[in-house]
Amino acid sequence: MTKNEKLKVLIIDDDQDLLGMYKTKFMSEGFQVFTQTDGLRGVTDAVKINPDIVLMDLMMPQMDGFESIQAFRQNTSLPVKIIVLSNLAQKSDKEKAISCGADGFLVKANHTPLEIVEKVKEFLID
Amino acid sequence: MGKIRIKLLHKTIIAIIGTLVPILIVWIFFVQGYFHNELLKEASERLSASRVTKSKEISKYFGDLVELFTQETKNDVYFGTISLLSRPDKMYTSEEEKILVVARQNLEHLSSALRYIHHLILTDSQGKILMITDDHPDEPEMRHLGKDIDATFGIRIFDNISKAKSISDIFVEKREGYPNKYRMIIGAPLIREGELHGTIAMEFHMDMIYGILSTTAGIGESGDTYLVGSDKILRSPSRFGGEDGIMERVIDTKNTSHCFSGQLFGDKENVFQNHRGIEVLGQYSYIPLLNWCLLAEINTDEIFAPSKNLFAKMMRGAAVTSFIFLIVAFLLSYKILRPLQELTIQVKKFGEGDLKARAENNASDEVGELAAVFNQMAKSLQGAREEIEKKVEEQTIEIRNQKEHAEEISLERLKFQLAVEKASEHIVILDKDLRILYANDAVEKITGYNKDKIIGHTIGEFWGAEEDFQKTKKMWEDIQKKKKPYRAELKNYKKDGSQYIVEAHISPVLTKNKEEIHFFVMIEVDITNRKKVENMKNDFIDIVSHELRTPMTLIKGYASMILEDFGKDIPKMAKKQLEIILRNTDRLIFMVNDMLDVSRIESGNMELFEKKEQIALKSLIKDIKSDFMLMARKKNIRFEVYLEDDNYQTYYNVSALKRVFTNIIGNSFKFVKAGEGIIKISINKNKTGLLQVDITNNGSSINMSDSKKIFEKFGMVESSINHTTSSGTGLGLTICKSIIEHNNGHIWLNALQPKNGTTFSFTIPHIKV
Repeated sequence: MTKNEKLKVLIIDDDQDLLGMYKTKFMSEGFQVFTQTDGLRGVTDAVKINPDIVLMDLMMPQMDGFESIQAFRQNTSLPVKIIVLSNLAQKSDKEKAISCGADGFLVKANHTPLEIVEKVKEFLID
Repeated sequence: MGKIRIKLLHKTIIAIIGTLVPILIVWIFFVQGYFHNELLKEASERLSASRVTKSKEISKYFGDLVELFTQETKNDVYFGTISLLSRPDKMYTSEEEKILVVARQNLEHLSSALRYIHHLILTDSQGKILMITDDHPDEPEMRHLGKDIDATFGIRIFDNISKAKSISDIFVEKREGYPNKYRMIIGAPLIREGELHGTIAMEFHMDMIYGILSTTAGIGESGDTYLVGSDKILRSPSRFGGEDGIMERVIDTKNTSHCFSGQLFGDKENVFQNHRGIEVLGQYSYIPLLNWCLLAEINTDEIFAPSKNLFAKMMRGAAVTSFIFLIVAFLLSYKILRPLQELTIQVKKFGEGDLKARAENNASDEVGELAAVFNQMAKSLQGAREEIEKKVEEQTIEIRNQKEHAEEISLERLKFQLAVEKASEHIVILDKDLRILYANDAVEKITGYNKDKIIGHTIGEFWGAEEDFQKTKKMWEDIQKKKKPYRAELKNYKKDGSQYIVEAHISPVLTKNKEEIHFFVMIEVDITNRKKVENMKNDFIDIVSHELRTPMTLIKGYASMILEDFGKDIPKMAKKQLEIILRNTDRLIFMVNDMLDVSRIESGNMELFEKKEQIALKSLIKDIKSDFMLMARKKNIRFEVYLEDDNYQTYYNVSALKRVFTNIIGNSFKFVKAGEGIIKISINKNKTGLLQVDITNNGSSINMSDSKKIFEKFGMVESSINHTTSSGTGLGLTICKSIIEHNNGHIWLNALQPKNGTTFSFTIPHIKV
């Protein structure tokens, strides 16, 4: 990664308003942002785009976040970091997501978009 | 009273008779048999001697007679005499006279030479008597002369004599009018050159046979010897019958037949019944010259008389001995039995219940000793009996009371038994090795397994879930170790394979010393339906909270973004108002989070109660303190921590315990005044062995009437100060209470004096390291 190259983030969420909000914030923070509204297409995009990080919602129609993460991890060995960004807040959800292959877990309502960007940056540094 | 004595006497007599009499009888018979043989032998010898002597004498006599007779038949003088006397003129010359005299002299001579002769008779060839000797003076010779010999003797003998070879048979003839009625006649033909000239005959009486046969030497009182012709007709007089039966009686005995057939007697065959019907010992001698038999007999009665006497004597002796024996036995038994009888009466009396009965025998013999022993026994029995009766009486009363009581108990027990048996909950009793000892009706109804067939097995073999085996195993180990009642939610499987969820209450029942587990009572309640409803409720809350969060996230996100991105461009007023929006959005979000937690806690299935671990309180407090450090600094509030022992450890779900601390401390922050507030955490071990956490603030006091209400949902107390800063959700303390109580602890509130603050206290387990 060079200085000029922007970090690529793929945000997958079925809620257009949220997508718009996070896209705005991540772009203003200098990310190249890709979005997708369902899990299946999100996984396909992730393989195509090979982003630095994927923000994955959990409750989605057709293929939910858990299945999507699992599918991605099973079908590719790309070293993409996947962080769950969801409004499911149970510990069991977090554990399940980690077991499916997620690298992190953030609860949307608990953080402002800026806080999320900060957390993502921390992840990428690690 | 006499019964026993008689019984014993009977026994004594029977014993004597039973032993003595058979011996005596056997002995007597043996002796008698021996004597019989001896006597018979001796008698035989005697009889034999007598018989032989007599037969020899008879043979000799007749032998001599026949010899003489035979010689006479050759004498010329008889032929001359016959021819002379047959002449009709009777005139003889002297020469001729001489011949006649010689002939007469010869006959006379012969007559005197032979004893017992009556007559010697000379006949002519026709049987006419020519010459006759007469030893009887009264009987004139002339009477018979010229007469026929057969007519004279009344018997047909001439034919026999004339045709005999040399000498005729001996005839025995009966002649009336003579002292000896029976005579014997024997004759011989006088033959020269084949021509019969005449006969010579002799009549002699029986005296000579009497003489021989009447000798009783050797034949005793009853012995008899007699002669029998070949026609088996008696020829001689007998000792008992005299002359009766001569030439008449047929002697057809064994003796006769054996004699004439020449058969010898076998062993003991010579004892038989004779012609008189008397049992005799018999012997015979055959006399060839006469073709007669001499029979000799002795009555067996006489022979055995000595042995009979002996037998009688012995019997008499035996009887006398037995009698004496009996008398002695009677006397002795009476002497022995009398004290025994006395003792018996006393024993009987005692046996019939007279415990005072005692024997009065001081004799130094065995009976006396027995009596003494009896007395001693009776005495101790009497004592024991009296004591037993007393005890029995006491116990009867006690048993009666117990029985009444037992009936009550058994009724109570039946009630309990039925309650367990018919309970709708699934109840099993397990032994300490978890084997089923009992299962109630509901077990069969719910699981489908026969409640009797599962006895002795473990529940793991039936409805106990296999996939939860490790978990279940751990659970049981835990119960066995702690020996305390336990509650758990378990997945069970019915016989048909379907799954159901139960709430199991397991109670270990301890032995009396409380050290060992006696058995377990396990009650399982099917909560499958409840569980379904709860899950539905949880799912609903999950979805609702998720859906609520999304718009709040957007509000929160955009509000913060406006402030971040356009903060400098908007009026101060609008900025402040945006901050309020943001703060209350957060409040809403917390509220949703807390609501979710409360609903989960209430359903008893919260993750906060699982995954317990050992926690060092010192490091936990350190973490919590650092979480609040920023806020504390911001509000200028002093934070104090006091730990009685730095090594205190507890056993908890970390998140849950943190939540409790966070909620209470967060709550305290709302009450204390900025700049002067102090929040103090202290941890001590209390009297019950639990760790007590006290979180004290010096903020506004809470009215004690609210101290309970405060733990209820939305039961938040209005703080007297700073309404704006108390931004709780109203659920935090409710969550704390649920967590603490689910971990068997208590939580309470102590309001200090007004304005001196409030203390929240709760207890957690203490783990010894």
